[in-house]
Amino acid sequence: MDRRRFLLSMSALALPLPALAATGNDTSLPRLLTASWDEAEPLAGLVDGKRIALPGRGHGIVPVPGTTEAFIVSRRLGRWLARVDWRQGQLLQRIDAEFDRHFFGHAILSPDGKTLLTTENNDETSQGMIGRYDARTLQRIDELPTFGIGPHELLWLEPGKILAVANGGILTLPETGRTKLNRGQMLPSLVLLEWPSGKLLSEHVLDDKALSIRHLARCRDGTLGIALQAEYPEAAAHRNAPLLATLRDGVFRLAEQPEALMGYGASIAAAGDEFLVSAMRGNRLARWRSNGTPLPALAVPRPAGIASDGRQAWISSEAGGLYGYTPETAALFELSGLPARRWDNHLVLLR
Amino acid sequence: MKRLTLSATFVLAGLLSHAHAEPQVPDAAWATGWLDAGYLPRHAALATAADALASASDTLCAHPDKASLEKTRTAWLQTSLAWRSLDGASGGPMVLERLGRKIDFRPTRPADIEASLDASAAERRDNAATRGLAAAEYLLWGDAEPAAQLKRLRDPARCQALQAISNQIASDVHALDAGWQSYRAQLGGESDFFRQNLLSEHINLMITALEGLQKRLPKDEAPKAANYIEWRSGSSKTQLLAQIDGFGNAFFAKPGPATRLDSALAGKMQERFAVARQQCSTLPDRLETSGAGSHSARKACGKAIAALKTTLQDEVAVELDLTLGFTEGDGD
Repeated sequence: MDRRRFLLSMSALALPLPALAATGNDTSLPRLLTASWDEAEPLAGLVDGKRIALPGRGHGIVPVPGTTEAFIVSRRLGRWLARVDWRQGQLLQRIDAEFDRHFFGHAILSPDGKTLLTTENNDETSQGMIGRYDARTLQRIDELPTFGIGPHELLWLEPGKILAVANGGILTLPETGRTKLNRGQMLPSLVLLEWPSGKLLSEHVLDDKALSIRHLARCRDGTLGIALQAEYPEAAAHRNAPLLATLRDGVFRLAEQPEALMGYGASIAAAGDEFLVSAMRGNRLARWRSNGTPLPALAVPRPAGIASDGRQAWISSEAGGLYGYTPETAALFELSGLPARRWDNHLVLLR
Repeated sequence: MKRLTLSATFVLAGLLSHAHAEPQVPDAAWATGWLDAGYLPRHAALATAADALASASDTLCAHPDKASLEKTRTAWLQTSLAWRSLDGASGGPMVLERLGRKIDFRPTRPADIEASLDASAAERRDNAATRGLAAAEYLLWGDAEPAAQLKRLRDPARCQALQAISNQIASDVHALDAGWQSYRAQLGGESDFFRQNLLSEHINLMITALEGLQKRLPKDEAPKAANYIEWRSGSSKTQLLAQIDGFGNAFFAKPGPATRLDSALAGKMQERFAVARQQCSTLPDRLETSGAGSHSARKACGKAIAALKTTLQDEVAVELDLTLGFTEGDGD
């Protein structure tokens, strides 16, 4: 569905489009990095800059502070990790996954910028791992367990000391590609690891094991927001499946939410004291206060990545659009004049 | 133990999903009929070919001459093609037992294989990179240097490694003989919980196989030979076609998924399959050395496979009311 048809359909349903026509918002475009894809051409780069051809579909992007470089991680069952120069539009370096390992699409830099950490799978045992690489050379240093299956996004809770890992709980293996092998017995968990020892500090699980714990963001009050993706056998069950869990004051719980978000949180970010989750299949930007109180979701066609500077957010759409969002006014506005590509699930702000 | 972990989870996925029964659960006759028509013959063909490879390798090591090497190469090719056919639509015990990991671990790791020549058979078995078809292909062809291999295989340690690998492939395949029969009995049993996820699991695996086919075609305009998976043996095109045919054997088996579809959709799948088969048949026989000359044919082949896959995941899965796993179109 293109954006025009989507907006018309929303109008027909009399659903709120609170601020698509809002005025007075900062419509200037910051520097945003993301991957995009179609069957023939996986790309990455600045949304309005030079395109970088990738060996396959890219997913998570980690800018290298103070440089024009970034790391791009291949998507689940990923075989490659790349370093790119986003200003030049060049792929500078590519490494393949270690023997009997594959990437899960996300990485994070250590606070000193010297080490790159990636989520990986041990293809022999199916256990989740964190690969440690020298960020300068991409030489692999070692690995540590994530105490779970299918680790996805990583986030520092205390830079250099406590690392949060979203163990998605879904088993995939190289010989069966992206087929989910343990539906019905998923083991998702949020774990906090002491760094650099990798010691397990705490593990948090939900009662509903069909909710895959995938993406992480932290509000300025310290609350950790966790975007979920439901994996029920029946498609209809996804309609009102929870999209957000929070870890606040040591309590891990699901947040209430509006109806029909359709159970797939593509990404999460925090802006102001809000958590924003892209409800891609529900065509909404879902919003909550950091205490888990739901706010009205805003209509966005196939929202994908969300980037935030802490005060304002930017949202990409798989349907090709890019939007800005201001929490103070709940204003959502489309950024015009940009190339319309099929944006991947993550959008990164360069500071 | 590691193997049991996967077996348990995969089987339990079926057990626990039982509580969410979908209306289109196949009956026992249909389920076993599909296995009989679409899966067991491909397993039997692989078992036969693997036995022949083991036998040919034994002969080669006993009489390392040009003729026995060629016979072994032919047997390897038949085994690999039979495997590609089975992998074109996998399922049941071959997934639980991770047969793909055991007999087709990629990418090939020549350094590991060379280092394993003096290792014990047990050590070689423990390393996925030093067993299976990829390791055997390397020993038979080297790095696409077929003429140099007879001399190298006259080294008893090297030939014995090939012999052990070939026999292990046969052993790994035959280890599933009972598994397939057990799976058949489960599908035909009174309780329907093994039939609950039959279509969902197998169609998901078919989608995965079609995605795998697309990845067999390098996107570069002029790829190097080594960008193709079976570049050492120069068999990339036939391997690709074997995998397409394996998909077709399972999907269009009678009974099979196509027989559960509306006739228009079944016809569309048949047409898309035929187009994919035809487009991919136009690839150069020596695909690995075709360079830029195969670019348009590769694009056409990939596009036809993509169209087949799109119909399978967007239309067939919907009509059969199946929940799909991660598709290529999904994020993550």
